[in-house]
Parts: sequence; structure tokens; C-alpha cells
Amino acid sequence: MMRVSLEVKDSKNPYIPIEAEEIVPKNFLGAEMALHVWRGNRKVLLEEVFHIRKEGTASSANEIEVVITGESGRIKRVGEYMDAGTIRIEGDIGMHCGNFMSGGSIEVKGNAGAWLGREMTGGTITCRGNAGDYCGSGYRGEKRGMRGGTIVVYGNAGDFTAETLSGGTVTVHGNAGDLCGAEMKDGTLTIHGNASRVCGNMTGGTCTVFGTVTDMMPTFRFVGTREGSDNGITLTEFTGDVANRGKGHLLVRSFTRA
Amino acid sequence: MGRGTGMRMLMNSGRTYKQGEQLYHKESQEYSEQTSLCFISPIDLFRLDIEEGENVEIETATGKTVFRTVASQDVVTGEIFLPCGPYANFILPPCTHSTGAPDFKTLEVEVRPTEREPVSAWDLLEAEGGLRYDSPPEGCPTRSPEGDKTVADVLCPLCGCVCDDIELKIHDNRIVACENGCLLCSAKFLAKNRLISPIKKTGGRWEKISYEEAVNYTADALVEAERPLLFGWSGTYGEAQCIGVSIAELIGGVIDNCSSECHGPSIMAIQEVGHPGCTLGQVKNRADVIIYWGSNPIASHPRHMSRYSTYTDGFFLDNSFRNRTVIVFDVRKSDTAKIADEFIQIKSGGDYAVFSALRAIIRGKEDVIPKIVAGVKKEDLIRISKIMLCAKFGTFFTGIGLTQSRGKYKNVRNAIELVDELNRHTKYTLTPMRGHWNVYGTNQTFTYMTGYPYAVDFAHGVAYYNPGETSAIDMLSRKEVDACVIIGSDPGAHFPRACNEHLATIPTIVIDPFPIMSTAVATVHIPVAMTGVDAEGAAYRMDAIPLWMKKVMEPTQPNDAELLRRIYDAIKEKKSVTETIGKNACTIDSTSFITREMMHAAPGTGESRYNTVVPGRTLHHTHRNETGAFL
Repeated sequence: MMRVSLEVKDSKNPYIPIEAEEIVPKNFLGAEMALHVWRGNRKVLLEEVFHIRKEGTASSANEIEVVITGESGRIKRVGEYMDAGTIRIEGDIGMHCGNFMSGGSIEVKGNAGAWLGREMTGGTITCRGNAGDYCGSGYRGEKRGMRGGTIVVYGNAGDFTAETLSGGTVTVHGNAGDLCGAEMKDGTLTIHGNASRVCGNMTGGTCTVFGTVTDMMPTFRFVGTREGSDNGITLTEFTGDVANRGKGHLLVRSFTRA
Repeated sequence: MGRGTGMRMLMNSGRTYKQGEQLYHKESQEYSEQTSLCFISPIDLFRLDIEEGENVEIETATGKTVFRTVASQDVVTGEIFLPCGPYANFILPPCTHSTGAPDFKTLEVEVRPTEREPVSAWDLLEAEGGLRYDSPPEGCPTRSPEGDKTVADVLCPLCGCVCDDIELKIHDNRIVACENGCLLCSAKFLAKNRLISPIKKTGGRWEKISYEEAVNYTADALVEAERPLLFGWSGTYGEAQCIGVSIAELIGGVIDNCSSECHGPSIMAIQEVGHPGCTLGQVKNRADVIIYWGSNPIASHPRHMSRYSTYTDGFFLDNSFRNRTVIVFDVRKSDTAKIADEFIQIKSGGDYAVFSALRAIIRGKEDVIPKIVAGVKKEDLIRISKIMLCAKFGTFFTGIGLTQSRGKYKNVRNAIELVDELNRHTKYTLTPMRGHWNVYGTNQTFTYMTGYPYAVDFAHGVAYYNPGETSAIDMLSRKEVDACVIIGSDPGAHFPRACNEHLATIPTIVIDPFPIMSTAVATVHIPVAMTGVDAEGAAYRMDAIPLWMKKVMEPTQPNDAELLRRIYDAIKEKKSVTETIGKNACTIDSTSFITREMMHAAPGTGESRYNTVVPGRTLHHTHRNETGAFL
């Protein structure tokens, strides 16, 4: 096993975003190669931004764990296109963490910025804090967002969570924001807290809200009531969105109308 | 409820006619008075135990300030309406929900009576860290070599209508009369408080500097910056916008335009589901059902109804005033709603649900719809859907009531999908009511040059676009911008307070003919010639029709393109870029260019910029040949 420790250095201007798409486990495998990050519009070596320490050896990316510590809330695109190995972030992480990820696992112990796991196709992301907007979503104009893998958020998630979800599983243990599951096509979205206006324009997949949905969309057809699979909570089941010929399933504990 | 007790209410802010009239007189007391009004229902005045004209303090988590109340039957109880401007934005949180546009609408506020008086707009900007510029006008920068004259068929550089029948009378090198235009148009053409020379904030006061010093200061700030932002552009012409894009590429900066806070969400929706648009001429000549949704053109585009819709006869439509059906959907009974055939009042933030309900009804799924949707009765929705379906040619004009309320671009997406649904039965189109005269032009030129319409980030040397991440309000509120150029826009008046507070801490350069609210938070203000008066160039009307904004007098100041070219050249010199524009220019027109060195020199590295493909980023120059023609 190899453990790569990346400790964020103090910066003259801590507000300048760092784009660090080269921080994926496989890039630390084998011979030393210069890795770069972007600090604003400056392309700089990884060691300009991080104290780097490596321990152990690895024969494949699966045996590599990257640990990020320090003020990492401004660091974007960590784990982008990751396909194997582990990334553990001890604090917060910036936008686009785990973009296009296809394998391996990412754990964020703090909060994650927007677009967590955008368009991911496999692997697992665990966020112990809150996730920003567009968690498990797509990019601007895209028809499909996340297509596979698992995202678990133990805190709250922002607006547009699982927008255009097309596969995989997104679970939010806290509350989610507005218009979660909008344009959802497939996959599973589970919200244990409250949310508003869920699943507008949904065409497929299953969304379950164990809390209250405020401003419930008027275009879901009532099906009946049933008990939640694992907690015995009685849920009201709808199909929709009928405005969109949708055949998705929406289960909610309670709801209010707009 | 006793006097002094506050009430939780919903705030909507937007254009009023009087506020629009003062857009180019922002230093005036009248501007402060018109933007510090609070339109409120008489019932809520009674609940607050105050009379009309008394003051209220309005507070959010961001801040509080004082407004003067105006009783209005148009506003529903529990809500207030504020004119857009520095007062409403002083209390506006910068959160955009990662869409680029903050919650100008449907914002929860606390309203309470107060004995305090509203402060001036300059006071607010100073509270945000700025410094007022209220020196009296110093003269006239325009000259008319032909002497006194009357110029006909002038184009108006104010709103997206770009009316082309304005007549100006010029006397003693000034415009003294404006015919045919609306009050907003006249107020702009007749504005006389132009800034004459560049000014710089030095030691708590403003000092005049030369254009050369101002250009050097700007170039230095942009070269040194790691996250420079070039914002605005809607108030200038296409050729200048193109040079702006070239500067952004050269410095590895972000270039954004006003649409990120107004109709950017419309564009995001269009990127998802397309744009069923048409020209305004089609609407004028054909449309028998016209729907204004979240738009009040009487205040924002005063001649829209008389030139393109309600009141103008069309080729296929005689006596249009009687033969057209005008429907208004809005959260308050605006002046436009009062003259509409049908007015549907929606609960604030309920537009998305109403669009969905109408789509379902038109699909024949009305049995699913509950009795009331966002305050609208089901039978009204069914009745309106029948009117829509009976149209031979229907048009939606969508306003910032949709793009700035909760849901943002999803509202417009749902509107477009309603249009799609209607197009299964008859002919329908949708046109966003673009605000600035050339805001659509910014989207056109940015897209032409970068592949993206706004919020374009060149930090990596290639174009990347993501509103919410690369849009101005989000970047400023995250404090990541370390130098900013503002041109053809006034974020000092129209951005949330947090953005202005940050602008006041970094090198901020304003390029504008007039002292504006942004001047206060700037370090340097460079005056330029005014497009449509003493500068000319290309603009795009709200329906994407390109028009030539001609000048009516000669300038004594550089125009936007000339000034930006000087800044561009100064940056090149400082970055030791040696090749000349003329030799390698990918010419779009005489003043816009992309040069060969931009395709090879990465900012700060000297490395090749296009040797790697960045996911989600556009390598737009690969689509050009050596002469700039698209391959």
C-alpha cells in the first residue's frame, strides 16, 4: 500500500481557486512525474501548493490512498476521472470533486462544494458533511448526469441534487434543496430529510423522500400508500411527471402544495 | 400588531419606469429617491400601523436599510416590491444557487417601521467600502462639426427593443431634444453628466489622470492578476466585445456579461431544450395571442407593445388591438397586466408549477392537476390553455420574473417545453425580453469567439463555461477575483452588496461614459465615447437581429474599442509578446482579432496552450484556419 499525504500550504491569497484534476491515485504510481495544478491562471507544480509525503509502495492504483489535509475548501476537481484507489479528504473540498469518476472511492470528512460526483459512472463518494448544489448531476445542457456509482451525503445537499440522474444511487441523510431530481431519468435518489419541488420533469427512476416535500409538483399522479422498505414509514406513492410523459416513481412521507 | 413590530414578507425587485428614467443620472437625488421606494399593499401598511410615505427598515441576513413606502394595490399582501438598484441589492444575499443569478425575486425579508430616513445611494456605496464621485459635470465631450442639426432614424442604445426611429436635435454640440423615444430613451440621450477625463482614487479622494496612465494601470493590474475578471459588455458594441474576449484570452481571465444575472438562465434553458424563437417582425405581423410572463414591458421596454405586439397592426392581422389576445402572468398586477385581456396572478415562485400544470392540461392529463396551482385556480388554467390552443400564432415573451425567481433557468426550460407542447397543435414561439440594448450582442460575440455565451473562463488558456462557478457574482462573492474591469454595466448598482464590498478591495477599473455607482468601488474610472451618440458599432436586438448603432456627433474621447485596443497592446508589451495584431490577426472585422501568439503562449508559463484537451473545455481555435475563417 502507498499513502500519499498532501498538506495544503498557506497561500498569500487563499481565495484564488486551485484546480487539481491531476490529483488521482494513478498519477502517483510508478516513476516520479511532475504533477501540476492551476492556481488561478498560473500552472504551478503540485509541491508549490502542497507539502507532499509518500509512504510505502504500490503496484496498482488500487493500492494507493491519497490523503488531503489543511485548508482544501478551494481546491477543485480532485479525483476527476478517477478510476481506482482511494482519496480521503480530512476537511472540506471544492467544486467538481469526483467528476466523471468511474471507480475507487472518495471520502470527504467535511463539506463538499458544488457538482460533487458530476457525471460519475462508477465508484463511491462519501461526504460526511454537507454537499453543495448539483450533487450527482450533469453539466450545462447535458441530457444525462450521473450514470453509475454511489454518492452518500450524511449532511444536507443543495439545490438541483441529482439533476438529470441517469443511473447509480444518491442518498442524502439530511435535507436536500430545491428541484432535486429534476429531469431525473433513471437511478435512485433517497432523501431522508425534507426537500422542495422534487423531480420536476422526471421521466424515470425512483425518488424517495422520508421527510416533507414542500411545493409538491402538481403533475404527479397519485398511486397509493405503502411502507418504506427499511424503516416502516408510510409513504405516498406517485408516478410522473405527467407533464413530460414521465414514468418515474416518487414516494414521499408528506407534502404541501404550492 | 403594534407599531414597531416587524413582519416576515417576500421581496421581489424589478424595473420601475421612474427608476429606468434615472439610469444615467445615478448621482442625482431623484435616483436615490426612486430606488429607495417600497411598494406595499395597503393592508400590510395597516398591519405595520404606518401610513403611506412613512419609512420601513428592511432586513435580511445580509444587511438592512431604510425605504419609503408607497401604497400599491398591485402587490399582494405578504409581499413587497422594490425597484432594482443599490437599495434592494444592499440587502440581497449573493447566493445564486450555483446558477449565476441571485434571488432578486422571492427573497424572504423582515419589514418593520422606522423613524430613520433613507440614506443616499452614494452613502450605501460608501458603506460597501467605496468613495462617492459627485463632482459636478465639467463640460461637453461631444462636438458637431456640421453645427446645429436634426438627425433622423437614430437607434436607441437603451433597452433590447433598439428602436430605430429616434430623431435627435443637436444644438451647440449637445443633444437638446429627443423625438419618438420613450422616457427612458430620452433620459439617456439627454444625459449631460459625462465624465471628461480619467480619474483615480488616491488617498481617499479622486484625482484626474491621463489616459496613458489609466491604460498602464489597467494593463499592470490585469497582467499581475491570477484571477482577473472582465465584466459587463452589454452597454458596448460588438467590436469592443471582441477585443474584450481577446484580452481575456491573453491574460487568462474570466469574461462575463450582464446576462449572468438577468437572462443567462434563459440561455441555460435554451442549452437544455433549444430555442423556439422568431424575429419581432414575425410577432408583429402574425401573432394573435401574446403572452408576457414575468415581464412588465411598460416599465422595462416601454415601446415594445406599440412597436412589436399589442398595439401595432400586422400584415396578417388588421385592427390588432382588438384581434390580438394579450395574456399576462405575473406575481403582481403590473401596468402591463392592467391592460391585458387576461391576467393570471401567480404566487411568488410558483411559475414552474404553473408551466407544468399547463403542459399536463394540454396533454389531456387535467385529471391529475389539483384545484389550485401556485394560487391559480384549475379552471383558469384550463380556460387559458384553450385560449393558447386557439391561437394561429402565439408568442411568449419571458422576463426576469422567471430567470431571477427560484428555480431560475428551470422556469424558462419549462416555458420552452410548454411552447414545444403547444407546437404539437399550432404555432408558438418564445423570446426572452432582453434588457440592455446589446446584451444579446454579448452572447452572440462571446459565442462566436469562444463557443460560450457568457461566464467564459480562460484560466487554463482554453474556454470553459459554468455559470455558478465562472459567473461574476459567484466569483466576487467568493472573493477569488483579484482584478476587475467593468465596462458597459454597473454592478455597483445591480450586484449584491458582498460583490461590491470585494470590488472595493481590489484593483477595479470602470470604463464608462458616465460616473456610475460602480465608480465608487473602482480605483480608476476611464471615460469613453457613448455608443449611439459619439461612437458607433454593431448591436443585436432582443431577437438577435444585428443592427448598426450610428453616431450622431464626433467624439473627443476614445471609444470602447480604441481604449481596449490600447489596453490590449499595453498588456502584450508587458508580457513581452512580440507579434503584431495586423500580421497575424484572425480578423472578424476591423477591430476584433485573435492573434497567433494567443494560440501559443499560456499565461504565465510560455508553454503551448492547446496541447492538452481539458474535459468540458472548448478548443475553439482549432476550428479556425489561419485567416480566422471557421473550418
